[in-house]
Amino acid sequence: MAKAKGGEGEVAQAVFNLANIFAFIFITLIIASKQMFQSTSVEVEVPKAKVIEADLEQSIAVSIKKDRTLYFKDKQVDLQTLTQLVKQAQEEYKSKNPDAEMGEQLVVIRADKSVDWKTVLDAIDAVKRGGSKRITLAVIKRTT
Amino acid sequence: MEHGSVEAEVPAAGLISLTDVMGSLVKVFVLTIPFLVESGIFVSRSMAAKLNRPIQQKQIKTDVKVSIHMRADGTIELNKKVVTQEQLEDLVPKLLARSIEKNALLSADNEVVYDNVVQMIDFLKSKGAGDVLIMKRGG
Repeated sequence: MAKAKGGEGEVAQAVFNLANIFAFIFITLIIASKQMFQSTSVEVEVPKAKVIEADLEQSIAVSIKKDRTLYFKDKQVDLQTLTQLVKQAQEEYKSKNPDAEMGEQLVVIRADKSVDWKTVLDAIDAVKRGGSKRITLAVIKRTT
Repeated sequence: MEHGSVEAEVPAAGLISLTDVMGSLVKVFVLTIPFLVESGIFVSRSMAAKLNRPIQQKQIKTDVKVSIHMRADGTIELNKKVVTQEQLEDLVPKLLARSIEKNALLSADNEVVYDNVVQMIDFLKSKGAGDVLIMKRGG
């Protein structure tokens, strides 16, 4: 009987450990989710859309905040600097991937949904002047 | 002895429930990831940098049947005629069906809110548009 009781204790301990592991995984997923799925730390509320076309892995993030400030990855820039940095990034991508065409690396425009269209269009212009051929607008999948 | 045995079982039952709850939370989180992750809508052949004057639109050698302009006051022009949202929903699929490449042109006044433009791109793509070509109007 004492042996059986010890077995029950071990089971309880194992279940407790399992619960702890689940809790740890869950908390880690919540904390890390933003960093895991975003290529930049710039906080932007992007629009929602039903149609999703592009996976944003290995893309260059260009963010536009609500106050219209412009970011290349995590660095605040102006339009001219953005063009230069995009050009450099595309050249680096080409040198690492000789088979790829120039300007093939995906650029994602992460604009706050409340900014005016001209601000976004100017950023698209600057990115295109930097030689980018593949540009997407960041969205979050809409459920309804 | 029997009393001790009951004591050992009670916390185990509680922990199993806890495990189920945690397991469910992880599953729910994994299932909701697609709605948390940023994805993209292609602005694949943006002509923003090239097209500065409306007259140059004539040079586009495509069979574009849908050309939309969003005005700052909220009105929408479809092929240069003001239309309501209902008319737009009715006409766009019909016009796209007559097009081979199924491309649509989209332009908007500078003051239009970005979210509204994305919703229009989303609408056009959901109605069957292949590429939505972003146009920049002169001025």
